[in-house]
Amino acid sequence: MNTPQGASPVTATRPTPTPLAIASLQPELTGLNPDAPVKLRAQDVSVRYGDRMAVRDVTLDVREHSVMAFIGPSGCGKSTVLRCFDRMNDLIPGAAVEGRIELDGEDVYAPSVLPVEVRRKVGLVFQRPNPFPMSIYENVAFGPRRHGEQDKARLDDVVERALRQAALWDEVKDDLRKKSGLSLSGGQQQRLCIARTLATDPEVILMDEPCSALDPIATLKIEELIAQLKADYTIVIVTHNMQQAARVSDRTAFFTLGEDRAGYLVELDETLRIFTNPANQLTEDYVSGRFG
Amino acid sequence: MVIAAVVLLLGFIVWRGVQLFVVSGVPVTQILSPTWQPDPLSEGTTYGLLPFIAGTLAVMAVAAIVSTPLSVGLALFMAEVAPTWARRIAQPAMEVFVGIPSVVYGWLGLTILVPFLRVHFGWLGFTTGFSWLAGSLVLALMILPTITSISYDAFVAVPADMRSASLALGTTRWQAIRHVVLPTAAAGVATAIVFGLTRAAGEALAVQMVIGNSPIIPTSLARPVTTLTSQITLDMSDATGTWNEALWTMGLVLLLISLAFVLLIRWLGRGRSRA
Ligand SMILES: Nc1ncnc2c1ncn2[C@@H]1O[C@H](COP(=O)(O)OP(=O)(O)OP(=O)(O)O)[C@@H](O)[C@H]1O
Ligand SMILES: [Mg+2]
Repeated sequence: MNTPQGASPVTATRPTPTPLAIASLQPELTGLNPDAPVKLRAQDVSVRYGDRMAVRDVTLDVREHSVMAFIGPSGCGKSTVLRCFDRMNDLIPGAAVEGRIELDGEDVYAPSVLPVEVRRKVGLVFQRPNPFPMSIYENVAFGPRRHGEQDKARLDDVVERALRQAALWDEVKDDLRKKSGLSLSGGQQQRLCIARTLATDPEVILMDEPCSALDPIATLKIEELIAQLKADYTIVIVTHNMQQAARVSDRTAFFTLGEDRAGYLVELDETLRIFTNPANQLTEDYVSGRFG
Repeated sequence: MVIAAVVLLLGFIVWRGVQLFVVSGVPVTQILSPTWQPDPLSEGTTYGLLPFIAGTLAVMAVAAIVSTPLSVGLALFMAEVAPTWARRIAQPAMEVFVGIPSVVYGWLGLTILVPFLRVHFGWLGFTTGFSWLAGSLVLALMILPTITSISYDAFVAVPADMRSASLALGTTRWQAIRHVVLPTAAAGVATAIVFGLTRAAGEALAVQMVIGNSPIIPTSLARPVTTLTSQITLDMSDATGTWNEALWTMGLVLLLISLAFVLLIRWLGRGRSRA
């Protein structure tokens, strides 16, 4: 189920390197650095909703400053696994998580850990952009304010920095306080949601199909953003878009549905290998579009 | 047809309402006088409606102040905290409450609240128990289900992903309620309060039973006051001539107050659909 993690570059022998292949020749630049510390780890994680097993025995780890993509057919538990990392599953009645989830080696589900603290360190960007019905400024300042930041100058600063990081600043700087977050376009709303998450100063950003409601240009913007954010954050992104997974991620985890209708992790490897030379036939079928 | 009937009815009330000024030649400014001396047989008849207008607004205001935190709190509890089974009971219970005839509230006020105020708070000036406060408390109870159920709907209408968004940013549940759910539902809650007040403004019977009905400007919660509706119902049978015209004018004023509330609801509703 698991393949060697953080393997050395596999592309050295490839005859015609694609841009991706060239990038992966420099592991320290791509998040494939095998020496990077493990940021997130799932160890034998299974999640049930009521009596129904949604996903079973997932073991994987995500290295710091890397982008991991989760791919797989609908219902195989990608969102479910993602929500374990910031304990958003706690909010779903009947959801039960087994196994161990670690952030920086610490058990996220330990009794002494407050979900609120986990969620401050691990941000989540939702599938559907969901800005608050407030001004752009208030949307971004929301997290810092709730976490006790009162100082106006510092808030201004945080808001500007987050909006710049999310590549939205230039488009909204003139009506930060006048315009409602809801009046922005879908792509702008999603970048606003990313800025809102960045403003709380997380270490990890989880994204659950962040582009599925966006047009190709907005999607491209978000993808460029992910590439930049990788320098400062650890990112896990769920996507149904194979090209997107190939473009943005360093490593890819492929999930599918088992015979018992519970999802499981089939294969986890460098993105390039998953898309060109996967170890498992199921992965091969899925990425080449022969699935189902 | 219906519109024609409504227009006719409104026209009729306006027409009867201005008789006092047009036919009897009472100066319009006189209705702002604090003195109500309508009996044509006594000296110095004055048709000051100020005590009634002030009384109506004062009774309503205190009722709203008492009822709003209770009903909004209850609605919030039902929408955000209560388990599903409790919700399933509370929802129809509210509707039953809305349906209770006002004489029942008045009777409860008369037999329980008024004696209670007299016995336990006589030292605060509630010499008879019939008072502004008694009227407001009865009214508060009557509008509680209305405000609760409309604000409940407003809270439930806040999309679930607004709450998740807040929680995903590491806020507590209470912070999500306080800073996302409440502001988002604010227009709906305001509408709920105004709906409650609209019901309160038109309410005569229950209030009249506990308020003491003295045509004075309200100055103390412990003293009897009166409202437009209770005075109209009380005087209806005795009033003739100019006095009767004055009652119609009071009806017209009441209509204008209700109209103001309806416009307020519209305005709040418009704000909400824009958000
Ligand atoms: N809130 C929930 N309550 C009950 N069951 C759920 C819930 N969320 C997901 N499930 C079930 O868990 C399984 C995995 O769902 P999940 O949403 O994690 O899949 P996914 O891989 O993200 O699918 P998609 O690609 O469609 O988003 C599904 O069978 C789904 O029906
Ligand atoms: Mg999903």
